[in-house]
Amino acid sequence: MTLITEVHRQQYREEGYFILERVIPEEHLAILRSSCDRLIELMHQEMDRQGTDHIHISHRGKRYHIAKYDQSAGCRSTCSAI
Amino acid sequence: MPGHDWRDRYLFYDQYVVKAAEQGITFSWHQDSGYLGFPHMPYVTIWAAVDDMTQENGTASVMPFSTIGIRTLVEHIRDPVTGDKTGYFGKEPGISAIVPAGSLVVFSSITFHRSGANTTDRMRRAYVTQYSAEPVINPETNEPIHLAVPFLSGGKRISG
Repeated sequence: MTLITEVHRQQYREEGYFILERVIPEEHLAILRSSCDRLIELMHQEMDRQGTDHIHISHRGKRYHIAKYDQSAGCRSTCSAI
Repeated sequence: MPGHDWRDRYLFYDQYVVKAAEQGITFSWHQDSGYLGFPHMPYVTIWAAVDDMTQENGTASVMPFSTIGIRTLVEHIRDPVTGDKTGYFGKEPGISAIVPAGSLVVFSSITFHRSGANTTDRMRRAYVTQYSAEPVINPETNEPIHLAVPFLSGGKRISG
């Protein structure tokens, strides 16, 4: 089944975006949520290690930009800044 | 490029973007391409709502091309305090993605977008993946600036 239609493609070309509502299954969302929470915890540990409250544009307790993919392991287990 | 098919695609980057509860930090209007610092082919971003997204929790907003009238990369100004880069300082509100968890907003790296403050008492999470039609090479190092993981080969998904 194709989620993206020609209408979406045309809007992307003409307006630069389109939206798909509620397309990620609940079980995948659960994985994303637990993964995200774990990575925030790891980023806090890294901030503690560095003695800082920010790494690049991530700010402790305010906002986080946490890169995820680790090419060597197939998934990232530590955080890194952009 | 030998062996390169025009339908090949690469995973360029993926990250969680999280706004903590009751935080007044906004992300100003920018094009993701504005962060790279060298010419490159535009790439696509898939912004996934991991939590329900509302105006109150600082969802993302996009600026349609027809509203801003710009379809090319503009020079961005860096905020020395936050490190954020801004490319649009006007008053257009854009289109806010008021969407339930599990929704996707798909936009180009030259589409302006921003996000508001999270004024709620709950964290709001998004998961962002970006895909490029060719490896995005940093001209200073001649290496991919982020990832260049083959994702599609000849238009077909590469498994594994």
